[in-house]
Amino acid sequence: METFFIFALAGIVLFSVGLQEVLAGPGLLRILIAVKVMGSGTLLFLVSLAHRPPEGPDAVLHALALTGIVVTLAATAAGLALARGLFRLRTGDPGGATLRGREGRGGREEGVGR
Amino acid sequence: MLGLELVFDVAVAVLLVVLALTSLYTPNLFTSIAFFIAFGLVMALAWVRLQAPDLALAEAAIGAGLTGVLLLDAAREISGGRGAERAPRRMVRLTSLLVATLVGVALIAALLEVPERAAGLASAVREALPSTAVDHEVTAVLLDFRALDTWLETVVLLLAVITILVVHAHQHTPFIPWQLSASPILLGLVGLLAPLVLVFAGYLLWAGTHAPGGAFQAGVLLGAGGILLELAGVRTVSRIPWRALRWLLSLGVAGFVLLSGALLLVGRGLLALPDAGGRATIIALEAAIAVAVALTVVCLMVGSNLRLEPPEQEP
Repeated sequence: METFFIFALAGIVLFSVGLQEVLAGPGLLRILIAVKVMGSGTLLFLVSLAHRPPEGPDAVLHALALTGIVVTLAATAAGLALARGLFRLRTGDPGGATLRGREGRGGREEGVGR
Repeated sequence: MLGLELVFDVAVAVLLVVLALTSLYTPNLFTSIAFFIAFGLVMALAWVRLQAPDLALAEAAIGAGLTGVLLLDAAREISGGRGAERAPRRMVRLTSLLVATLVGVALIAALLEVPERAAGLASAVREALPSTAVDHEVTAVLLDFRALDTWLETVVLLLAVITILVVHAHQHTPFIPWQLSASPILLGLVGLLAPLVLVFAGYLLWAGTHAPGGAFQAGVLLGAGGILLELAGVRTVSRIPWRALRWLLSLGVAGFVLLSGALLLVGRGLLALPDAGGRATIIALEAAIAVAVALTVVCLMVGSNLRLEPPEQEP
């Protein structure tokens, strides 16, 4: 087995695992993480194909994957902003009261990551 | 030696899948994000194994660093909220499992058909490299052969910032500083790291013309440094007046517009770089992209907490 085959296989597995969670995801953030896992799998597959002998790494696919990584970051941030906006609308908290540490409605527990 | 490399490749691939599975199926959202950050780090290792150092540099900063910060920042608001996470019904779970398995099997069947040896575009790039102003293949593709794609990439980044500002400006969110305790250890560490980040980002930008590195890696690293400063309470980007920030954010797009406009005026094709001064042009363009990417990255993070001027103060 060659390096390209191992990582291409891993890419396919990541894509499938992510797809399953996208379809059945329990929450917006979890679905977003699953989409990112799918994206990583796709790029891994793409760059694996660029690694095949005899010519060695293919710079065109590397440039494409680099664009992909940067665009994924932008898409993630936009997705998170939309998710937060939706969350504020749903909980009737348009000013982001949670962030200021005020007690929100519905017995919200203290946020993680502080 | 081949055996050892094989073991390492398999270990990295298995680790990737295990980390992804753990991240997706652990019940706690915070644990999930922590595993996803580890997943990004191992992805960087995979890129190294696939001889893609440019991707490894970008992934180490984006996949392992920035994405994790963005997710954690969102999770502190969303997690624990009413209806934020609910277990899917059994039927949905089974159906999705079936669909995902079928897609996976079909893709693996397709992979077995892929020839083990293939002539891609690698030799074509190598042959055309002397005609460009740079010596690094990936930079040549990004800023010479396929500069139009890179142009559109800067537009996508700008659109993401606009999306975030629109969502949050609509809600008139005031600037909310992160409630971190400014411990002397954190401030000392930031004081040590910030100059290093600045120097290394400059090096990556300069190295892009002849070695792995370039505008996007440098910009992302610089942006990560900016976020570190913001998190430590040292306001840098959030202190820039909004009117100036607007222009700075579109610096990458503006660079491409000015360059292609100038080239069209002197009668060359769109984005057909001149032979003389091509290298300086590319470095200048890369510097513009790097600054725009860095500010974009900080705004992606700070954006929801950025103070926007009320509409009536606009000219």
